[in-house]
Order: sequence, then structure tokens, then C-alpha cells
Amino acid sequence: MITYLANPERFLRFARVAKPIFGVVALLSFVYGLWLSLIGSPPDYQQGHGVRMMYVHVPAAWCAMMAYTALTIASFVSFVWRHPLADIAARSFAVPGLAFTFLCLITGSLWGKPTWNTWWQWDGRMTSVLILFFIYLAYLSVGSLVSDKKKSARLASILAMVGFINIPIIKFSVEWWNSLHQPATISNFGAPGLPPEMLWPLLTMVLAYSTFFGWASMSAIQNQILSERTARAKRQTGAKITVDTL
Amino acid sequence: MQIDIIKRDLLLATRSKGDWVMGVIFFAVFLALAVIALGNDSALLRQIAPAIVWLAFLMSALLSFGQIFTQDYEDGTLAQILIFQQSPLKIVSAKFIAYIITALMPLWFAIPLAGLMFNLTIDVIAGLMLSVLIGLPAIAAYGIFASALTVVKGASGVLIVLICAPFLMPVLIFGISAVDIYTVEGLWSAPYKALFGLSLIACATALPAASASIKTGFE
Repeated sequence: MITYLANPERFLRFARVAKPIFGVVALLSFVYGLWLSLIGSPPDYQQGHGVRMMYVHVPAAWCAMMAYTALTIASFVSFVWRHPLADIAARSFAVPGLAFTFLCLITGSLWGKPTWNTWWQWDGRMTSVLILFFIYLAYLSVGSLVSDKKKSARLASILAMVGFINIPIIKFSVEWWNSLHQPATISNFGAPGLPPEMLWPLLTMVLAYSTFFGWASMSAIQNQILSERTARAKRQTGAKITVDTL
Repeated sequence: MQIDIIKRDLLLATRSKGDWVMGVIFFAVFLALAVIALGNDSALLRQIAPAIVWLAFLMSALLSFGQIFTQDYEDGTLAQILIFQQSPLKIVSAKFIAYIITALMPLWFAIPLAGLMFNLTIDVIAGLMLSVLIGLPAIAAYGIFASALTVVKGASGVLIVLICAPFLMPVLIFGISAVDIYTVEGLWSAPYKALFGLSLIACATALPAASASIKTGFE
């Protein structure tokens, strides 16, 4: 699958079909998921309507980590095999990932105010997500450091791989440090997790966020391939004109 | 080979007419500014002194990261060493040791003086020095990594801070909690172990990454 898509031409053909599907699924599941989470689900017995924040906060946090993991894999591929498409892909994952991280921090802070009575607390989870945010920023600024695109992409991929150490820290921070954040609810089989009428809107929102992430990064990769192609074509015609005048 | 680079860096430091003192001066100025900003409440100051000293140490280190490779890059030494088929990891590890000796150790020896400024007890000063010493490899390793990443562009201070800060945040967190716990539990408490672990992780990831960045920079 990945080797098949590694060819830019094939990727473009794949994206032409897959991108609209992702976009439509994202749109539909956003509409359905937002309806479910705002109107179609019951309020929590402890938090009341505040629990509705979960449906935008938790998927954002998951997608932020997923985007960074995808970014690291793409960086690894680009570092080891020097594949140009992996460079483009890595960079395209970074911007949505940064947006998800920002959204996660903002919604978390808005959710924290009514439930914990504080906007911010320096617990392990919040600090490590903030660190993720800074790592994304550092990645993006290193990515445009030198004018040689290949070189700066390679430097940025090194940074991305070093920064990956933070992802397991985010995952396990709630278990290592007792804090305001609760440990994972969904993956605790056997324990009384989420009731189905809350799990369902959450999963719909996760589908919406992930397909949106797929749609956004695919469009970014597509745009980058096309703009590089036009730049190359321009260079070629420019060279041809120069040769002709000579 | 590494010994030669370290010797050369030490020689350069002794001939630099005291460039390495600048870090210590910054350290002192930062402490003075912090005390002025926080007011002259000595009970409060003694309580937060470890945090301020750690922060001052980290800030002075952050400011000195830019110079690790700049001079060698600009006068061509780095390129010459690489032309002689030396592994960049050797350069990086030599620079790591030389940087600790020339830039971080002077700062470290200034910590007891800072302790006097804040009227700290011997116990707290010892805890502070030990926590900084254990966290020091992590600080140096990430500094060298950031410096190596940006070397082709020339030292850009803000970017280096942006690259290092996320990685140094855990070091700062555990470093400060280590000082607080030293008087109660001593050196074998959890924050010291975590700090030691962070230093090991930093040496294992940031030094090879720095070497890869230098290699990339000269491609």
C-alpha cells in the first residue's frame, strides 16, 4: 500500500478518488457527531452539560498524537530512504497536527474551568501536550530553515524523530503522575467505561476528526506535488527560452 | 581524535580572553534581576531560590548554545575535520565534553555563590548542585543538538531556544523537584533518578541526532 502510493503520480490518482470520500465522510460525521454530542446525548450525572466538551476535546487530543506519530513515520521514511514524497507528507501532517494540539489545549482549558474550577494546571498531561505544541512549532520552523528544501526537510525529520519521545510520555502521563486528569476510560475493558449513548457520539467525532485530518493532509500533499510540478515546468520553459535566444 | 578536539577547544577557551566568563556574568545578572523583580522578602526568596537558580542556569546555557559550532563552521574547521573522514559523532561527542568543561562547569561552580546570595543552607546548596550536575548532560546534549541543527544557517538564538525548550522542560521540572526533596529523602529519591534517566535519554538520542544534522548540513 505504502510502496504503491510512494509514486507521486499514483498518489495523485489515489488522492483524486480518496480525497472527496474523506471530505464527505468528515462533513457528514461532523454534522451527525455534533448533533449527537450537543442534542442527542444525555448530560453527565456529575458534570451536567459540561461533559459535552469531551466530544471535541478527546478526539482533538487523539488526533494530535496520531498526527505526530504519522509525522514521525514519514520523517523516518524520508530520513532513511530519502523519499521526496515522505518529506512532503511529513510537512503536511504537521500543520493539522499543530491545529489539533492547539484545539486540544483550548478545549481542555474551557472544559477545566467548569469541572476543575481552573483554566490550567501544570499536571503531567497538560505540560506534555504543551511540550508537543512547542515541538510542532520547532518542527515547522526548522522545516523552513535553509533555502535548500531537501536539506531543511532532512534536518526537520531528525528533530521530529527526537521529539517522538514525548508521545509515550503524553500517553502514560496520567498513570505516572496522579493528577486532575483521569486515566484512559475507553480502553479499560471490564471497568465501567463510557455508556453507549456517550461512546457513540465520541466515536463519531473521532471518525470526523480523523477523516478531516486525512482530507487536510491529502490536499496539502496534492497541492505540494502540483506546485512543485509547475515550478519545474516553469524552470524548463525558462531554460528553453534562454537556449532559444542564444 | 576526540581528545585533540577537546584539547583544542580548551586551548581556545583559555586564549579567548575570558569569553567563557560571560555566561557566569549573565548568570549573576539574571539572579540579580530576579531578586529585584521579586522583592526583598528573604523568607519568600529562600523558598523559591532553587527554582530561580535552576532557571538562571538554564537561561545562561540557552544563550551559550549558539556558539558551540558557529566559530568552527565559519572558519572551516568543521569542514576540514569532516574531510578527513572523521565520523561526525566523534566531533559531536568531543564538543559535548568540551562544552560541558568550558561553558557549563564555570556556571556550576557559581551555584554556591548564588546560594550565598539567597542565604541558603548547606543542604539545599548541595541538593541544588547535585540536581544541576545530574541534569547537566541533558542540557548540554540538547544544546549541541539544537546548535548542530541550525549550524548551516548561522546561529539564530530564538530558534535554538524554541528547539531546546520543549526538551528541557522535563529537566527543569525534575531538577527543581529534586532540590525540594533532597533535604528529606536524599540523593536516592525519584526526581534524581528521573533526572538521571532524562540525561541518559538525551545522550542516547540528541547526540546521534546532532551528528546526523551536521552530516546533513555538509551534504
